[in-house]
Amino acid sequence: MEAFGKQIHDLFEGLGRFFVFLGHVLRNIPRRPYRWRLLGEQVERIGVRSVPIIALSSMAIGMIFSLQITMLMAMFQAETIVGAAVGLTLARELAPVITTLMLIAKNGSAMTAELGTMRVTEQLDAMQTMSVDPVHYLVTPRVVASVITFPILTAMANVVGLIGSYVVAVGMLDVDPGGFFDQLYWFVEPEDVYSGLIKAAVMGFMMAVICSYYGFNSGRGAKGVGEASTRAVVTSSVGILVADYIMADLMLKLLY
Amino acid sequence: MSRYLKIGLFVTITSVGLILYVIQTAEVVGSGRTYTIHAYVDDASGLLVDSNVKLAGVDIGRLTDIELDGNRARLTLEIREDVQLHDDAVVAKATESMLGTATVSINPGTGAGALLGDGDVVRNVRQSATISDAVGSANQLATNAAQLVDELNRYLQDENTVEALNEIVQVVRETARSTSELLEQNLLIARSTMQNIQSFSARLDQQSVDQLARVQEILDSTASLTARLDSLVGSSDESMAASIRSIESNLDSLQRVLASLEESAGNVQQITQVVRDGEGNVGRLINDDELYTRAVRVTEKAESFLDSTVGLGVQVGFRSEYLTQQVDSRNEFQLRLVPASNDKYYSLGVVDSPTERTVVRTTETVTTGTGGSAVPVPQDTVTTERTTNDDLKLNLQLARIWGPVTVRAGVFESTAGVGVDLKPVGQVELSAEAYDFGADDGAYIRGYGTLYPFYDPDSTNPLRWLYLSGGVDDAMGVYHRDYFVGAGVRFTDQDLRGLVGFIPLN
Repeated sequence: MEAFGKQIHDLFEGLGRFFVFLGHVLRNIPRRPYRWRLLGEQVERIGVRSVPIIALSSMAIGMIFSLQITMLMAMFQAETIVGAAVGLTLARELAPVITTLMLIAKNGSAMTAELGTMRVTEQLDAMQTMSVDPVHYLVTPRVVASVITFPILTAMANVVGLIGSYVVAVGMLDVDPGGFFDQLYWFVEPEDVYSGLIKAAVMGFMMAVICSYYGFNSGRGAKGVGEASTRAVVTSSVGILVADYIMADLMLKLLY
Repeated sequence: MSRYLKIGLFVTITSVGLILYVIQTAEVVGSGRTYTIHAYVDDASGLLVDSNVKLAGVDIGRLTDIELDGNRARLTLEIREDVQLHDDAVVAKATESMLGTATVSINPGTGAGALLGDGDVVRNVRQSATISDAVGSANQLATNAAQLVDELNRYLQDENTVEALNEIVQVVRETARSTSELLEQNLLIARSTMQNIQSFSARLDQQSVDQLARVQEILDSTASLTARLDSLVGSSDESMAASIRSIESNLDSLQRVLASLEESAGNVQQITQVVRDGEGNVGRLINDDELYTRAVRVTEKAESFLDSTVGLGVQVGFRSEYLTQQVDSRNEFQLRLVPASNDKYYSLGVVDSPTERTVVRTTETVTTGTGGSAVPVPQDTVTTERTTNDDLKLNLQLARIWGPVTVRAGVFESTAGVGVDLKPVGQVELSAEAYDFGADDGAYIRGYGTLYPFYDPDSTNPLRWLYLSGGVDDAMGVYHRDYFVGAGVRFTDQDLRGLVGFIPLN
């Protein structure tokens, strides 16, 4: 019982630390000087270098989805709806979630490990002594870069996923190409795409803040850094899924 | 409790609350203003709360509540304000699918009746046959059939019955036999009758020749009779002519009567025409649409007048503010009487505020000696009494509303004061209050903003009664200036409104 109470206590204390960190990050975003070079570096790391992996995974998702939906819809002689089904699910849910999960695995863990190592090797403290705010110097560019790049990568995931779907449905399963696009244009509205992009931006922000937080608070030694990365990945994955549900609920009520 | 733990708990609880609040109330955003009507149906099965209300297949609102009232279901329908329904509107339950779900559809009425307003009841409800009805009647039929078969079965199993049945069969058989015997006898008789008829007709044939000669004789005598009658008529010709003349004159007068009748019919027709064209007072009364609408409007006005005099809306509210500098709270209980005209309200309130009020009372006693020996030396006595109280304070305000501006005057925290509220947009209100003008350090001035995110005091959802406020308290007091954030609820209380009806207004 005591241990359970302590766990609850630690949980909320951790949350408190996190919220303070979040406030610190938010205050630092509009603060000068703007470090454009650092921002560009992060955009390149998170955005440009992630293009192949996002393209590959979203194409795979589009192809798999297309295969399954076509099989299912063949029962009702309605194979052409595969275009709409893949387009809608990709735009609303799959593209932002897949993009974010892939980027958490690729960049989020790297972010935590990098900042954690800097903490362990006392580089962060050194920065502070030189009166450079480590949050402003290290975290802000990562957060801003994530918010910028996530929607762009999600948009690309939408397109590539649909290409994958088209290749499988039309090329391999002989679905009528005219019907594929007709259903796609009929069912998918611009709001569906916007909502996915908004979600991606929010998820990008969450990922960057959560992973940086764990990096800043990582334990001592190589073991501590490893643990921090693991926890960062787990927490941000679960966190974005919960946030996704809340956003989906709100958007279903407000947008459509 | 560490600082981080406090922050963690605070942010978690507020953000969870905020998310729940937003999710609960998100549907209200953009839905616009609505009004509520009720309808009573005998069977609400298949209807679901939150399902759409349709007019001509278009969504015009939502079904917000289904509850039992007596033996019938009372439906509460929230209709968009731009959709007008008349009091001869028809509410129908439309079965939508084989799954048994249904929607409410409304026919707006012919447009002749008065408009339906908030809280009105639709009288006409059409119950359509549902799948469950059909299944029910089929069930009934099957039950009846089963009962019949059952009874027959039981009947046949009883020995007495079987005997009785046997008897009946025997009787029937006997009857049949006797009937056939009777028939046989009758046939014999019939045959002999036929033979008789035959012989009779043969005899008749022989007689007929004699008869013909006699008929000739009769015809001859008739001819002579006619001739004689002719001569008789010739002699009485004159009297015949006279009677014909009198008949002619009668016909003449009849014609005149007919003519006058025709004339009066023409007149009647003319009058009808005039009435139909709407000339003259009677015609206008019958034909003028405007007069009718005016009459309807007068009735509506009378109703609204009654509403405004009798129908005071009562809103009950509570607000709490956290004063950041003093680390204390100011709480207020409010009772707001809102006449239906909606251009003013009266507010009564009890305030528990941490601001202490110091009252200085100076008593000066001047005793002037009258010269008597026993009288002491003249002296002035000055007694200064300072009382500080932080009891409950009273608010009694009269507010007048002009569009976005509301001016309040009356008693603010037990002192005289005025206040102005400005509502630039629906959800935001900016307020300023000044009171306690007699205080040492100038008047007490409060300025604050109130945010009504999804506010609707008539809603049944408590989250929609909520509003948030924040501002500056005692802005003029240099040492007492304080900033506050707070929240409150205010909602319409139908039961208290009923009580207000009993308060004598004179």
